[in-house]
Amino acid sequence: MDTEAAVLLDDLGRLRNRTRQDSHGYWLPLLLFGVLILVAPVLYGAAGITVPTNGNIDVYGPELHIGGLGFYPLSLFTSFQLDVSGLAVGLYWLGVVVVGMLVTLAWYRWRALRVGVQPRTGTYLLYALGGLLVCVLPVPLVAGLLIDALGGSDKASALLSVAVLVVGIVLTALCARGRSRNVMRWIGLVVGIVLVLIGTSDVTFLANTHGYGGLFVIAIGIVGLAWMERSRLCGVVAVLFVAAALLADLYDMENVLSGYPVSTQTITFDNLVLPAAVLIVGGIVALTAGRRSRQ
Amino acid sequence: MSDHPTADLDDVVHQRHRLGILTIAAETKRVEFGYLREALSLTAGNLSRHISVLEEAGLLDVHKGYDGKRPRTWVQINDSGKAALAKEMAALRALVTRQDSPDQTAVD
Repeated sequence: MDTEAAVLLDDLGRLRNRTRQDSHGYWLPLLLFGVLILVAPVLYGAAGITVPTNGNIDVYGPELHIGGLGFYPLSLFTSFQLDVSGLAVGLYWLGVVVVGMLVTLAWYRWRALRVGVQPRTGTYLLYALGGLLVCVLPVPLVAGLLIDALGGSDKASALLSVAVLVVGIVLTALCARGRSRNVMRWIGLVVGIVLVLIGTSDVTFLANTHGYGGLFVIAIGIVGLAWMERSRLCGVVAVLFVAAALLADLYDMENVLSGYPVSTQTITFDNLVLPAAVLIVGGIVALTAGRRSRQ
Repeated sequence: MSDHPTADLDDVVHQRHRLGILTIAAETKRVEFGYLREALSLTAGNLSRHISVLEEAGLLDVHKGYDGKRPRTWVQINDSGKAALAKEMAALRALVTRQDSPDQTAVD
């Protein structure tokens, strides 16, 4: 009976692995997002700022008002460092995220009809949509309100924001673990969540030096994809992409690739080529590995 | 009352093919009848009977529909099915662990 149980567990393990392999379809979203990122420099070249007659330069896109508070929902997708229209590039990244998400969902649905297994796409949708909403609503709103209160965008302010985030995470984790109905626990939980929101908003805002916040949203979606697919390879691609996205947003890659930059288009290409390459290479490797395992 | 792991095995779930159906369904949002038949090397009639047993036990939901003119049957595991599968897997692992620890086996 015991040996029979071991054999049965082995067989079930093989069935589980086979089902996971057959449901893997993440190569297409990786390639799609990689290509869409690579197309961005063309748009940046065409989206140069033209100063309107009223003198207001469109750097951060349109301003939105909620309860008397003004903020720029597309501000993570653009930067004052590049002479591009905030509205044009903001809408581009918004389009990349939304269209990419819809194509990904349609792809998995179409693939399910062909292969016979459909993964839990709701997990991916939760990550991708959640990431987008966080980056266009609370992050610009909270960071816009508090960035000056926390000391601006210098190194000390960045450390303070990270400290607020860490304290918030620790406080939330400690208070969420307990089961008592103690009032202090609930107060601690609320304070912890508020600190996490403030810390996340400021850290994201500060990590967005070059205005490629769209990469963060795509990264959150790919993490969700890796979780949904239970794929180690997709997980590795997600981690590499997060690293490449941070590099693109924080480091002037044109210093390494082009030397003296000649245009906004060149700067953008130099910064975005690494994250795009990670996704395109990851997609090709996943496609090849999937075909080999089916042969 | 025996504390032997076999006491936790459920006759409905423990049957090899039914366990296979639940395992595959637990990995997906939904799985198609044809995929299950091919993966488990079963005839359509056999698979249909196993699915009916699991559906009647309230462990699976079955949805019938069309893809164009082609009829399709989709199988989806529900929360009771996930719980039953987890319990069965735990019992099987306990049996294997028992085999690996001779002291405990000797006592019984």
